[in-house]
Amino acid sequence: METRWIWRVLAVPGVAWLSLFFLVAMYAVLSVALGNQNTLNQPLPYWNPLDWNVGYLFDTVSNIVHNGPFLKVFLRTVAYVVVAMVLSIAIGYPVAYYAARHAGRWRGIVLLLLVLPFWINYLMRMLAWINLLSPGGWGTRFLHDFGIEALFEKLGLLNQDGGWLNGQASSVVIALVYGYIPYLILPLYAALDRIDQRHIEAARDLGASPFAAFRRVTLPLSVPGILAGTVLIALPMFGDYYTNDLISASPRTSMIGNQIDEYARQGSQKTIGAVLTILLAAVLLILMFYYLRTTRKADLERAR
Amino acid sequence: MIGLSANQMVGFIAQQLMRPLNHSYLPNLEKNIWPALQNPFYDRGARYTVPYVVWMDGIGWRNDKIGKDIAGMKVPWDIFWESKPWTGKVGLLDDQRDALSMPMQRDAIRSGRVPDLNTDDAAIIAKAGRDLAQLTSICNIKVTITDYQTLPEAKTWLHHSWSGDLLSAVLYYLPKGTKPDVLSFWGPDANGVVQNDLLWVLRKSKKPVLAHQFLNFMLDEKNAYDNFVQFNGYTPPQNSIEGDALLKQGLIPKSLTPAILRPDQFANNQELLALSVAGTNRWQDAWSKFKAG
Repeated sequence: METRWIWRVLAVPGVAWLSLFFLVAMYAVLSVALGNQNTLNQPLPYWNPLDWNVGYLFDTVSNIVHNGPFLKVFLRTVAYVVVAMVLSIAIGYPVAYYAARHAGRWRGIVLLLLVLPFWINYLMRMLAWINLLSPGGWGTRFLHDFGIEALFEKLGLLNQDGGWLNGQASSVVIALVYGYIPYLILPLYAALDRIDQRHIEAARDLGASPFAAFRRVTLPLSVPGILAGTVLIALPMFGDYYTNDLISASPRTSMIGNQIDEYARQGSQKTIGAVLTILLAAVLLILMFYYLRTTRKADLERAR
Repeated sequence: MIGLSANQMVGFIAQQLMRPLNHSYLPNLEKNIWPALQNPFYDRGARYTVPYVVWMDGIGWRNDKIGKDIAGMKVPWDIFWESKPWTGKVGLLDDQRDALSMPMQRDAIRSGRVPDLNTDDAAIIAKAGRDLAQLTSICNIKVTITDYQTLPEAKTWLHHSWSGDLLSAVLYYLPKGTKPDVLSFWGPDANGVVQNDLLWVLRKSKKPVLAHQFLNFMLDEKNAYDNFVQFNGYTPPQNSIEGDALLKQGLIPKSLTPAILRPDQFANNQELLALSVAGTNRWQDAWSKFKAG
């Protein structure tokens, strides 16, 4: 009983921090989104919910519903994030699996290598990609020499030799994968590492092949890790704007984060920027609920 | 404070952020600065501001990659609509006012009109947005303000540019072995966009005399030149700084002398000024639509 009380007290700073820097900030965005603009085009937040003005929200939703530019950008963003998530899982799962189950005495080094990218700022890593993917850059030469460039050109994902920075959707997706994949691998590694080896041994004893044991035991048990990892990378990817700015800068690859940046930071209609932020948060909230529901279900099944 | 442009001034004055200047502390204003900017239309009598740097919107390009006499074209802006061969290597300034005013200038030259680059007209603004959208189809245009780096590094070959970016490019960003004369610039003599950044003092400044002394320091002939050559790349409107002199010094190549703005160009082009609320929103909506791809 006493122990439970201590843990509650220890949770207070974290809860206070989140309340102050997330909930208050979110309420401020909501008040701007449901507020107005003054004669100098500055946002006029309405703090009292009774005063909230839904005009800007309706206009923006109407733009989306009536196939306006926001819909195009929303759909493009969803497509990029989904492809980037699938690629991240395809690349990250084997790495996490190897680190958790087969790295043996190399496990420490593998984990260190996985954490290394966190030591370098995301923007710096993206700026490095600009040089790597420029015509004549090391990355471009590698992709050319190993036939990847030719494959991308054949698939229509690249417009010309060495054209990775020519405003290509493929480059943006690759950069998103590169930038966020460590955030997927680490929770996945933790989930795979937690799987009781005896479950797999039992499956093998009952005649399952190594692949069947993986498919019927390891993979289902690692689903919470996959979900945690995908949530961790999907949330920032949806709001990302600088990856596209740095790697492509073409309107053809602009994401919803770029539109939010355009309205909220640079433009005259900050209220619309706030509305887009709220709408994006609402979409992400749905994903978050799905994640919470799935992990809760998995916890209950484990407890049974 | 450094870095206010004329279109932001209205808001700053309305919010009472600016302190009226005491000209007795600013002898270098009268001594060194273009006469027209000692009494500019946006700030009569230079009551609140003194000029810092000036620039114009134009076209920057790599003449070793683009084999066309862009400056000699009847409508130089047309080059962007003829840029299919350079797909992926063409850039547009990432600024809604500068970018949307470019097709407006193109239309005006074609029809022999004087454009209003501060228009509130919904049809003109929307057309400019549609014209820019064509560039996405033609050359998958990149929207950036990094031409000062990408042009000298040949990551872009043709760019809608601020004149100062080409000067920065040649002063600071040329890779080893790249000759400065591979870069060229063209800007219109009239009916295009010119801008200037301003220096001013905050109303609540605790050291207003020191702030005035700093402004006067920045208006000094040598300090302004050093700031231009060593740090900024954008030209101060000093009487002593002009293109041919910089060419003779070997500071810039002949192909970039058009990037040094002249007083007559400043007078005959237009500044981008504050718009009405509805007008501002129209410009932003057209820009956002273009940037949605």
